[in-house]
Amino acid sequence: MKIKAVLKVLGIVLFCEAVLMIPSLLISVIDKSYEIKAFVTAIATTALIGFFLSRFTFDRTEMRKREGYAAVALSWLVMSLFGALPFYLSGAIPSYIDALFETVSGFTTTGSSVIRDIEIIPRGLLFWRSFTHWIGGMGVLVFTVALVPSIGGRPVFLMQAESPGPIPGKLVPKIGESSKILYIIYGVMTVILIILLILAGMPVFNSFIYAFGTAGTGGFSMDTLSVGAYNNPWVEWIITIGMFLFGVNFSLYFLLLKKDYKHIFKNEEFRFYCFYVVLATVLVLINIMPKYNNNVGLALRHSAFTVSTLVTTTGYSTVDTNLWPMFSKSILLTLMIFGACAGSTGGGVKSVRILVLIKALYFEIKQTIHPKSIQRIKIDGKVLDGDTLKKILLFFFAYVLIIILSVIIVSLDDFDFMTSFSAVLATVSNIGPGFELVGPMGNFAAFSVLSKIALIANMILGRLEIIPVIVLFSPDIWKKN
Amino acid sequence: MKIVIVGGGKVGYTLAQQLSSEKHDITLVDNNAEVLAHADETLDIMCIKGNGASVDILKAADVSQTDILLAVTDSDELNMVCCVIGKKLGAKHTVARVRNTDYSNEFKMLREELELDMVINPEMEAAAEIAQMIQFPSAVDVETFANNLVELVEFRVLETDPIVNIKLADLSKLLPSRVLFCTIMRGEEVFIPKGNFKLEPDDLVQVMGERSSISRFFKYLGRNSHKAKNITIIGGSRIAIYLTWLLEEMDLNVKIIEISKDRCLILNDILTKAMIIHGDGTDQEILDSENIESSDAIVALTDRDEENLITSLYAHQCGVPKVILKINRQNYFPIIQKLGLDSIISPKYITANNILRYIRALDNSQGIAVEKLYRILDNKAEIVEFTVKDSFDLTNTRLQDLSLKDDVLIAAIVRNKNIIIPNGNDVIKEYDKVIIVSKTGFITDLSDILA
Repeated sequence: MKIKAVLKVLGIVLFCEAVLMIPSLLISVIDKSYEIKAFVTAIATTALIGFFLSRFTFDRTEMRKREGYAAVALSWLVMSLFGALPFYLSGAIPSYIDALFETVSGFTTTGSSVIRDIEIIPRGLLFWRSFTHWIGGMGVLVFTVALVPSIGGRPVFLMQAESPGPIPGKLVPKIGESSKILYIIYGVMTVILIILLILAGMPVFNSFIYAFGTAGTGGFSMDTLSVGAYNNPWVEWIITIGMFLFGVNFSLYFLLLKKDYKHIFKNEEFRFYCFYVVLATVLVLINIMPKYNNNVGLALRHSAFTVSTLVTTTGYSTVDTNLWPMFSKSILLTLMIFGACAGSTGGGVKSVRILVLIKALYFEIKQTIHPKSIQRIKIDGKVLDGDTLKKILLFFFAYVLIIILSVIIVSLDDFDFMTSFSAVLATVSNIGPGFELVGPMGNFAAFSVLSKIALIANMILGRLEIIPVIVLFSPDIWKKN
Repeated sequence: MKIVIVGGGKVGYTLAQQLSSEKHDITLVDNNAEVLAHADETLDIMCIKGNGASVDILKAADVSQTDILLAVTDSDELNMVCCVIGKKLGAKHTVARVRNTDYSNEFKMLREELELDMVINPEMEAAAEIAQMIQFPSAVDVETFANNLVELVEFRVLETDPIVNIKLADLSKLLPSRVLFCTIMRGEEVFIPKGNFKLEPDDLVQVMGERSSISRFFKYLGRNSHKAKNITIIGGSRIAIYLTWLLEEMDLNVKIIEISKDRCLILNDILTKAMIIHGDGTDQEILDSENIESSDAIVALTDRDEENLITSLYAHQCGVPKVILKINRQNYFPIIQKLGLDSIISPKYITANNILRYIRALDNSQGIAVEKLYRILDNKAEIVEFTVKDSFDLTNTRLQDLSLKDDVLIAAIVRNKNIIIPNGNDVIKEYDKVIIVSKTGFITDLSDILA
């Protein structure tokens, strides 16, 4: 592997990160709070090291697939290591591992927290914590590619490694332009959301925090009760719909701008996503009605919000879902695996992969009955080649394998099964809260250091869709040429 | 500019590579998923899988917003249909590759009736280049600029040449005529020489000057400008046919050795004067019995690079003064040049280069325009021709007062059909044609030469 190429990318990414910390510093300065010094130190260190690394030069062709993948995986790790500095240096989170957990949880848009009392954290840190969601949602490398299109020589590998979904597509011929368009759509949608939340009666600062969490489908809040703290139906519905929309493949919004409505409604992944969101909402609604004295309006509010928050892997809550019947919990667990659409800010296995797997299974059954029949899986009328199908199957296997291994590690802490399993699932799918101890009203503070490291790994694996991270552990990649 | 390329073969890929590196928006359409996957991974372009002549696919490629549609698939007919549909859908310019000899006399008609803006025939262009090489046997390669007023000739320095190991500044006083040393390729490295540069044997040198100056220069070097008379072509491909037509116009004797009997009959049909020999051009016995060492030039044009190489090496060893060979795979170029074979022709490369030239001319139709652009020495250097318009604000400044970038050379100024090989006291005036030699590429405007 050409290490210089990777180091240069890391340098540029760190430099960008330092710049992105500045708004949080400004808020601390306005509040004259104790974490100013921590921010200044963190920004200076990050910028300096970033600047130093970005001095490396390399030949355009040295950025091959392996360098691209390694650069992305390492970027996420290094970015989290430095992003944790403000929390740790200010003393708001005394343990570095906890600070790292919180930051990784932010960048990977997971939203799992180890902070027991969120309401005593100063606003500057809260802002940084939620801003990491916004950055991580669309991806740091996508952001960097938009600013510095020449970053990797062949930035297509950076995009491939970072964008969620099996077949990342470009919107326009140039990758830098594509990233810019994505970020503009993302930014405009976030601004609209912030305005709507303010109009619905949420304080301005809180609107920013919740909009970042919604847009990145992250889920960090600033209230112990999450969105439930506002007890405001308007806020809840805005966030419900907001989360749902940020879980849609962003290339559809590009089609919307091009007024190509036909292809949007014909998009199979989008239709499948809508189908299971509506179905799950209805099933959960029927199941929880008795709990809310058959008040359809209230039950619908909660079921729609919870389905939307878990399917898009955001992780906000309005009620304590631990109190819901087991059937609803099972539905919700299934949604946590399915996740949102490819090319969105959401996590999970992704709608399109589930759709392909279901089709593959259906065809396999048909093939058994008609052994001579020729059938090929099609998505949006286009044949899915065997290679992509193989990759999807392997991805799903890797996903299951990682869940199994992590559950085994986490079980060392001897919590109940639902806690251990949902903690792993909630991190690997980048959701946030799980059930029982790690439920909406709980947090991850009780886990041991080993479990926290395993969960940190889960979050990064889940966000980068496993393969780019695993590549780093192959000894071959570290060999010179 | 927005450019759609239909066909991702060698020509299509080369074009996409070059044009995307020049910041154009490229969409590549091809039927072959593997070709597209390779292009997608290595280039910053958009790839669309499908038939390039289908309206749906062309619409998906956004052809209505496209400045140039390039159809360079293997099929002439597909290329033509693609361009016609593209034009109807709103593409501003269309370029089609048409290579079948059947259409070769119908280009004018194609251009007018099908509204093609450019029809390009790689084999014909390759043949034209070979013919030029045969005309100037002591040179490796010849290009012309400024409406054929200026010539650029490439040759290899021999140990016995009187120009070896003399500083170029001193050398210019010794030479009988005014020529300019533009680029020197030593091994893999390219130099744009300054006054203190010394030539060494085996350097590949490009000199620029008027035709008469150049021929006096070669006389000074002691290279006999013996005119070729008997030409042997190995392989009766399309290029061979075009080449024979051109050579016969120049009144030369052409002999074609072709391995397939059927092809021989076809050649015999088309070519009335040339002698067609049925036989294997890589077989030394055939070559000997056809008296290869008495040929003035041999041109190896079979479809296989390896065969061309073997035949050329043998001919070179037999002492044939001029050996020209066709090579498809560009990565072979440096190896072959090391073997002493300098005259290499690559039709696909020529096609790509000609299309690039056309696109750059379109792209620069305002301000100071690149009128002609040549990539030389393995793409490591380029020669650009501009016409100076009033937007260049350093006209009438003495050249020695301009601070030029390194590796940039003002090679020639053409004013009222007179050629000036400039020194520090010359100036650039409006409406001059200026020929610039540069190493790095990316000179798209005359002001780019300034540091």
